[in-house]
Amino acid sequence: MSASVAEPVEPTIVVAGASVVTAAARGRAAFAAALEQPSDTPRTRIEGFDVATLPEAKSLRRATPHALFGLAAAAEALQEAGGAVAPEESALLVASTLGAANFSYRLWQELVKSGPLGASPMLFSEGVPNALAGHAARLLRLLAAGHMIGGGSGCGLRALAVARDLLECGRARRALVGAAEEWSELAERSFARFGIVAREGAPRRASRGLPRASRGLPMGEGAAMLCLERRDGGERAGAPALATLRAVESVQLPSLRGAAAVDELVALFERTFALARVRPSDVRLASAANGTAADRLEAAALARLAASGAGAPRGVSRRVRALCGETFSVAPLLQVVEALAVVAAGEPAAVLSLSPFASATLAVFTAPPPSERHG
Amino acid sequence: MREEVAVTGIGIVSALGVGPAATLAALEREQPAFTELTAFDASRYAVRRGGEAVAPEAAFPGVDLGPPKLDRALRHLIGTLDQALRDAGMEGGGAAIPCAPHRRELLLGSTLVAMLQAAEFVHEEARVGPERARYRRLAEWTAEAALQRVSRRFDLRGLSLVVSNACASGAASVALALDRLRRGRADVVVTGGFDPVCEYTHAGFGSLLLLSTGGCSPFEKGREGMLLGEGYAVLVLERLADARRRGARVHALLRGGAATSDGFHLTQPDPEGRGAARCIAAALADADLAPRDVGYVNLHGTGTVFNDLSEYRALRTVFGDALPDVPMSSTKSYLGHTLGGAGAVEAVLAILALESGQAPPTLNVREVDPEMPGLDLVRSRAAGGGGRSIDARAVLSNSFGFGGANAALVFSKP
Repeated sequence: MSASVAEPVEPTIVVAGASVVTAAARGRAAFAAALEQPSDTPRTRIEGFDVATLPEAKSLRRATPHALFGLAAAAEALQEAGGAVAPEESALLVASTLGAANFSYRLWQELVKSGPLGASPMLFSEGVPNALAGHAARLLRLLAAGHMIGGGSGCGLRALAVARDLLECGRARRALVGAAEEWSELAERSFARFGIVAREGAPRRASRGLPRASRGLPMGEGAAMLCLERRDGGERAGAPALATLRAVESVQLPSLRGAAAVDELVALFERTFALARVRPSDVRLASAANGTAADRLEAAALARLAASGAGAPRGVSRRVRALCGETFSVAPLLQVVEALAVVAAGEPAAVLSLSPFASATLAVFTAPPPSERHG
Repeated sequence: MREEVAVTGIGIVSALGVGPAATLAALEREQPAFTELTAFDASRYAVRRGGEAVAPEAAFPGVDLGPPKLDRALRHLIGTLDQALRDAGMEGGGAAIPCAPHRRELLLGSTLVAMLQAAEFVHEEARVGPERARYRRLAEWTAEAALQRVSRRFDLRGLSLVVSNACASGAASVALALDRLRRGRADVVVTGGFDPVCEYTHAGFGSLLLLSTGGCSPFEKGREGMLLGEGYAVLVLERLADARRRGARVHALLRGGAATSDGFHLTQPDPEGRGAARCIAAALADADLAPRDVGYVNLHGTGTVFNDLSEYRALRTVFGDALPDVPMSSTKSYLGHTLGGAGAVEAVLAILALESGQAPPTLNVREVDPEMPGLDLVRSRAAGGGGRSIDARAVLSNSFGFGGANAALVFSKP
């Protein structure tokens, strides 16, 4: 551990396993390797996803891609964490911006066309926001709390904050926390008009309250899951871990523009690094940059930090979205997986999310306690 | 010693009325609040009744509810938050909330959020085509847009999120808020749940044959199903020590909360109620109370055959011999199932029972299902019962939903 990193004072929450499902790579190690290969074009759509590896795959034939991606990543993160934790002590928190938007849209279209006769029990059941959590609870035996967290690109990190609370309050010993998104033609069509994602050939219209001058990135899909555990004794003490979650803080900014927004974002950095007890200038940051107005805000806040006595994070990576496009709630969790590689090299890492609706969340990770490091 | 968490503000809007006083008065009348649905053209549906609230501008005259074209659910939500913050002595939010802006949090439960905007978009798209439809409506649908609008309106700048655990959403968000305060992450958490009446859920539950063509008769021998309702409820939570320090009125203590998953089926409850029983037991343990300490239970009680039986079996498991001694009722028989709002709406109704010393009856129950022996279901005057005086030290509110999501909350007197 770096000399600038103080020992945590609260219950130790570690990342015991992680996995991703993206168009670029599947699995934590493959994803970390893919990030090292510069690409001009993001790989956004997952083709030919193999569900055969999922438990009871036959029972999932009607499930949405959103649920399937999330289940696959969850199963793999659990596998990496290893060990046995009682189902009743295993929680799940899954975030999503779009959820089962495709099923909801189809059901709406059928209702408009055919009225009650168009109401499909399958589309309704599999389209409920927490369908992924329900499937995961059944198939992966996660019987403690199962929460679906909705929101923009920051809700994945906000789910992390809630998972930490559950573990610290003793409501679970293990919490799978992550996010899943599936590509949606309607969402792409809609977000492209607001400059949140790019869409070739689509007309772009300015819209009040949303970024005007931005182009965004192509829309992607996938899932990322982390297996968090509380490690202050018990049968999992000393089991391998990938990182320690030191702090996660969130704030609603006044907007993505202006001096007040920069002030608030700088305050978020300062507060979170202080809680994490790490020196900002020692930290590598996985950036929230996504090709929208958020980029300028992040740059201004980092410049302000650099000019301050505390200093700014010394390395800033923008590789996740360059590799996967805009995956909304999944993106910050992919950034966490990127941060895990930084932590494995012995450096503290931070992950920032900035949503188009001006919410900001920052999480800080350090190396796990020496007795629990992999290898 | 663990910090006690106080409920210092309450806001509620449903088919029963606007605000706690009107809601209590409506409960005392023992009349269901179902009417012909106006939120959409229900004439094509076999079930055409539900529990709609009055329009937001009628519910909250003089309150800035946002632009007139803003989604009805969000306008109601803003009004309900305003009501709860006033009740807590934090009128208008912002500087009236006695803590730093980033220590004020907003945790809400909803299944639909601003789905009515999506409904308008899809109808318009069918009429005018995808190029001319107004996409702004879809942006308003997202949970993030709703959070931004509400948190800015009241200057709640800390963590904000929407929990979408189907019909347990509202209670789950309150349980999460409890942990935020206990862990010292926040000083004031504004929490609750909301959902409007919407054709999407009406058609969906109808397709699963869960709606009743008659009334809503939870736990009745011949129950047919549920009716849907519109509901918004907000609780202002803070640590008891902080509330006492500023001289705030305390409605109740949020003594405990819990959430669990059935891990059984996406839409059907575990027939034995195992996940629900674990949840209720965990909430009581969290509250450091025994089943016999509970003086009233606001049941989830949807009125569907399997849900009610599953909940009964869960209660039998947890309460055991104490079951016949604990009065219980389902207030969905008055106002319908408010989905993501239900857990918060019914938490408020449970607090009102605790404060008033009156347990509201379940309406439309002549004969309790004989498969549920020992259930002390409070029945209406029309069924030979009537609202029951209770001397409760604590009350419990249950919420269960699709995905096998369970949540339970325990409140006690301050």
